[in-house]
Amino acid sequence: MLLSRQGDAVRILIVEDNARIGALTAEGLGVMGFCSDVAPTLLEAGELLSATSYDIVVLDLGMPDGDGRAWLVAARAHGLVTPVIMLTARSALGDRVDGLDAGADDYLIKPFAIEELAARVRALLRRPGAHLSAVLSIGQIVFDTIARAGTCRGQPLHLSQREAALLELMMIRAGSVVSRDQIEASLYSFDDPVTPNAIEVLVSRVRKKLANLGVHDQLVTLRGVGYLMIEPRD
Amino acid sequence: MARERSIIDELRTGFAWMAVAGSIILAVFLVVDFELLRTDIRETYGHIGIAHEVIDHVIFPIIVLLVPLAVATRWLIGRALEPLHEAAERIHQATGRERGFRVTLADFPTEALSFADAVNALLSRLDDAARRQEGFAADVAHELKTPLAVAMLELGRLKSAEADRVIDDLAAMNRLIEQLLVLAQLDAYAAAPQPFRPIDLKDPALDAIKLCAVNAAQKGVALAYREEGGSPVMGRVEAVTAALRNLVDNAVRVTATGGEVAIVRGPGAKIRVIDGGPGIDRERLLALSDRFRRGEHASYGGAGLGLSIVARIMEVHGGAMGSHPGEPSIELDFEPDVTI
Repeated sequence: MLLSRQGDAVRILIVEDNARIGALTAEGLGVMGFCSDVAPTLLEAGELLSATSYDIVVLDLGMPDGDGRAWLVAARAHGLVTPVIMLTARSALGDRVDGLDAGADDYLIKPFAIEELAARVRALLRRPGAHLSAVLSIGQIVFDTIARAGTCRGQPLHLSQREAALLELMMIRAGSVVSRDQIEASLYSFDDPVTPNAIEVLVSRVRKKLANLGVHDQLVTLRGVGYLMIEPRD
Repeated sequence: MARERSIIDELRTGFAWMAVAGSIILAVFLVVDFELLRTDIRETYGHIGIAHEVIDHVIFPIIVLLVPLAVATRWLIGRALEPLHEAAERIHQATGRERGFRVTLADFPTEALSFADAVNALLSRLDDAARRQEGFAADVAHELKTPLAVAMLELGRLKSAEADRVIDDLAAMNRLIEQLLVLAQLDAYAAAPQPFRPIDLKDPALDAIKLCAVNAAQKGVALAYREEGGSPVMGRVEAVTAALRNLVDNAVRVTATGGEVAIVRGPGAKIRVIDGGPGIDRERLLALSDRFRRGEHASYGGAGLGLSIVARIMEVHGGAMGSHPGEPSIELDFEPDVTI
């Protein structure tokens, strides 16, 4: 079971009108150790939010009793601070940034894999102020976020503080590209001087340590874009 | 362009006929009044005398009456048609921003109002059609994606290789739905365009790379972004992202493991996707991208649909897709940002 900062189980509110998607999402998140409730209407979501405290809200945009985006804007105006992941079936033109403007912290396009949603949930819980104690694992790489130590194929990785922070960041954001600026912002303090190739050097050191223990090609460089941690290739 | 029916020309002809008819009638009056049919009277006046009478009683009245009339009418008509010229000018200037555009009727002559109203009604029908098509495409996408989402979540619970293969198929189907949604929205856009905004091609390029990153990494193809200068262009960033994503998807497909696919911005208002494949010649690129216009809807799948969507996106942007001989890359040329 995943625990929130207060030591309780992480509670997720799924606001989704399609009963099967709601139930399957709740079940899938349950398997990964999250407790979730499903609200089939915005009205019910409002009632649940005022009665219980949730760590994350997963909000579908197209609800029968209103637009999820407008609801979120209103809820944020009334002081809702819970991180929100927006679910949208639309993706092509226009619609995308609107959700983030409305006050969502992240968005996911339907159809989605439950692992993807869980990864987004974990990423949000990792934010300052919403601590999640967990052991991250991607393929053969395991990182303990309390001990701040990693293992690879069961062997200790012997990471420096900064290497550990980098590995943790890349594992939390696994499956999505992390830009050099994002790494810099989360690993170095504001007045820390960062040499132009510092991130590059750091990444290649971590990659080398992984390679020494037999894990290749999981920490990928996208030149001019950023870095990406992927599941092992088959 | 020669116009067959000009109001001014028709009036000129009309006045000429009036002059002829008026002259004949006045001449008849003259003949009857002065009894010019009688030979002895004709001889009393003499040729000069008759000519004087004709000038005084036929030509002079016609000129005094018709010339000011012709000049005044010409001026009045020109002034009445002026709002139409101005409206035409405004319509020309609205090219590319037709959505919501209407002809202003303020100074229109009453006689032209019904025509202007009809034009405005047509414009509003185009707007409606475009909006309906966008809405319809979005609804269809939503309706198709909900069952897809259920199916993928159900299959995800099975955790077997077979289920994963079906999930991949569903993901491909999902991509196809998204592509068709992009196309439908572009068609709606083409029917009633909205203004483009200046964009930096770096943004759609990075978005496209991020969207393709996992797929490329799983195949062992490196992705990279480079700049060789580059200036802002006019466009819709979501559409350009869709175009670049299609190109990168194709590029990853034709590049072998260990190879690289790079997006290069610039120089100028263009962007290139370079792959590790054999390259594509101009004719084949044209054939693949022209499929939609020629209505060959037969074999979609593979590169075909992707490239024809890219071509359509470029067409709507007033740009072009091209390739260079002997170079494994596809280039997109945009219209430069006109606001700077």
